[in-house]
Amino acid sequence: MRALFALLFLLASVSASAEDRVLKWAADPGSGAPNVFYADGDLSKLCGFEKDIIEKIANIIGRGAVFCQNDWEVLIPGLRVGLYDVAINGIVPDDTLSSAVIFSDPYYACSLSLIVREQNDRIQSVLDCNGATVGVLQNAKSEAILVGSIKKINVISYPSEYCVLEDLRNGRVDAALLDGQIAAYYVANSSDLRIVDSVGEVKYSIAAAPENIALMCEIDRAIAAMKMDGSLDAIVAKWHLDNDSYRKLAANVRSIRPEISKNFQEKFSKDVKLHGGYLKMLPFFAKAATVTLSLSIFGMSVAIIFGLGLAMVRVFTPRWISGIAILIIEFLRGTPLLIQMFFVFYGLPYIGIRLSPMCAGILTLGINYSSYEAENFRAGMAAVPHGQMEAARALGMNQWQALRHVILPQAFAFILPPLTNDFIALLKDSSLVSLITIVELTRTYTMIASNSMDFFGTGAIVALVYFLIGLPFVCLARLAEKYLRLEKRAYFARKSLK
Amino acid sequence: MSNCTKPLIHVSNLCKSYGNSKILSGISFDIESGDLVSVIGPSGCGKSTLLRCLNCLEVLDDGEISIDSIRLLASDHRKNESLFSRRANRLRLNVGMVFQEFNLFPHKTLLGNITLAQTVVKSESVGKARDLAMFLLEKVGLGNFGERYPWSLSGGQKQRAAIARALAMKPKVMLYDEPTSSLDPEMIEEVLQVMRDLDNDGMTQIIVTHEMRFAKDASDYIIYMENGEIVEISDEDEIFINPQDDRTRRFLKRYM
Repeated sequence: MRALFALLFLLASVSASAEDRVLKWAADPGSGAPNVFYADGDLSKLCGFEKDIIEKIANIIGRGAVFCQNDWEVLIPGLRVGLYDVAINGIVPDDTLSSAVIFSDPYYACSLSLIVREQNDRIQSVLDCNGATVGVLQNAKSEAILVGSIKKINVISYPSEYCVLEDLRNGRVDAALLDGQIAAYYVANSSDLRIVDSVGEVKYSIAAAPENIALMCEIDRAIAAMKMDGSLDAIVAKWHLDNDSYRKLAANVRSIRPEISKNFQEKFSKDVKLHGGYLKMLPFFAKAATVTLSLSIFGMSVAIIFGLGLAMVRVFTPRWISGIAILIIEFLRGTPLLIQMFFVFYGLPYIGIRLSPMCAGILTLGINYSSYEAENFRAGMAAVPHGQMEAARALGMNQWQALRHVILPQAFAFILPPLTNDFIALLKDSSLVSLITIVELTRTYTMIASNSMDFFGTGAIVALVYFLIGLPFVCLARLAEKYLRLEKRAYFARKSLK
Repeated sequence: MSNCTKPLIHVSNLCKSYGNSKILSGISFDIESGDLVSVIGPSGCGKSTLLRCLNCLEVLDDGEISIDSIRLLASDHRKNESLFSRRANRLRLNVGMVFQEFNLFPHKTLLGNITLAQTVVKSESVGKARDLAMFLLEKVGLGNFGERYPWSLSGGQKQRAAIARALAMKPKVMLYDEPTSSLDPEMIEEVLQVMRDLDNDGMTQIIVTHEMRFAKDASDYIIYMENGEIVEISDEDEIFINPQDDRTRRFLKRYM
């Protein structure tokens, strides 16, 4: 036993010392060019100006750079749980983030650029955005700038700049406010968009967990050295990212680390409580829960109606028509919901069908689940004895009347349990719509949690909320089951007779 | 106008096969209004299929059926399917059918079972449909059972309710497909009694049955079938006392 522990200890120390010599850095290539991205969509060709910078830094401090992929919204939480040493991906320090992680001296600066469609003459500056819908990146500073400076504005936040610009092209948003270098990169590559205005200034810093303060000091020294010897300029020039803000930044090489580090030592030695109290979150969760609930209820309604139609076509039409229905069913349930969601929201505008996020969410969820409901209905109808149809037809009902009054009421009793199952599954799958800009429960969770750095408590709350909004429907279904189930009704009636 | 001289049911050269197996071949007979006819024969001889053809639950391959002057020709079905099925629906309204397995609607009370088709098919008012349903339940001896669900009834009660349900559509002909075959022996008589009462009221009835005693006592005449053909149509006494065909004799020997 002791030998085993010794071995484990040895292994742990070996791996720890091996880790000491590498610099694990994280970014989200999905968030796009020119920061960190895959060139030509080739997943073996990672590049970007931030990759160049961090590799240079690693080189200076004598470590090997190792890339770790993570989603942009959870880059900071990943630091907190020690998945990697630093995060570098257009991160702009602010007060809430500064209470959770430490930041290096800025390595790049730029202003925010306002992008509009080529033919849009109305919006010439940020001030023209009054009453307009503007797309920004999630958790980015642009939202605060817009909401702070313009009275009547509708800001929609997107997971990546591709999505912002896609929706700008297809007209869901009137303008986009993105970091200058991102805007410049994409507008240079597309003829239908142009930059009309620049506002504010953002400074990018490298983030690390507070316990890596020593590493951060090394990084700061490395950045200062790069500013001095011109290697930072070289990288910025290579990617055509030069601008006034950056030049001002590069000219100032004095590190401000000493003061900050003292600050942080005080802050973290006292084990500060990071979240601002759960009560304050409840209104957000309540609002998000209504969004999730209405998505699910409307989605399920679409699923039941469309599914019933599909099942009818499948069972009661000539072979070649029912064949089409089978094809639709198999295709719908054979392809991922997420892809269908992206296709409906970002893909359909290519052929002129532009749906609002809520509409797209409900339709996609509903139509995806209709394939399952169609099979449920088919199984339910098959479970009704054939004699029922014959008896109804013999009484003079036509096929539709027999279905409506005799077969479906009985089939419904059979399919209620799987239907309830699917409703609960849909309720949970509705979290996927957070990827098409709808702020529902899951999105609210990641937003609050990544800001407050409390994935534990908020996570428990949001799980409870999901559970609680599903519960009434489960109970309702149980009741209905008891009432509709013919054998059960017999059972209960007999029991009460005695 | 000339309907009264014509037989109520006229069947000629009726043929039906499933795939390669011929179930019915060249069935022809006439039935006068008010007759009670029993169809007997060994299992698989096609007697149930014959009944189902009369109610268009099966589409005939060849020949013709006419009930109360509505004519169905197999050739019509080949030519114009939708016209055929419309006509078949009209024909069905004149024909009530009772099944071996009752096929009552389990999600409805007896009153619900009996009023459903009236309100749906004939657009009868709920009140009127209920009145008729109560009257018919009374008639088959189930006057107090209107609010009961089928599961709470015995087999005999279920079958009588099924007869009441068919009668509610005011058919001119009642077809019974082995109405007593899935009943306990002590319940058979109550169902047969309902059929006797209907006969006395002048209802035209065709019964596929294995109840030889009932067939003998109640029928106006008997059709004996074997291998999809009618072997013998004759008077009820005649066939039991002095069958004309060897096959009939052999069959009856096993039953009597």
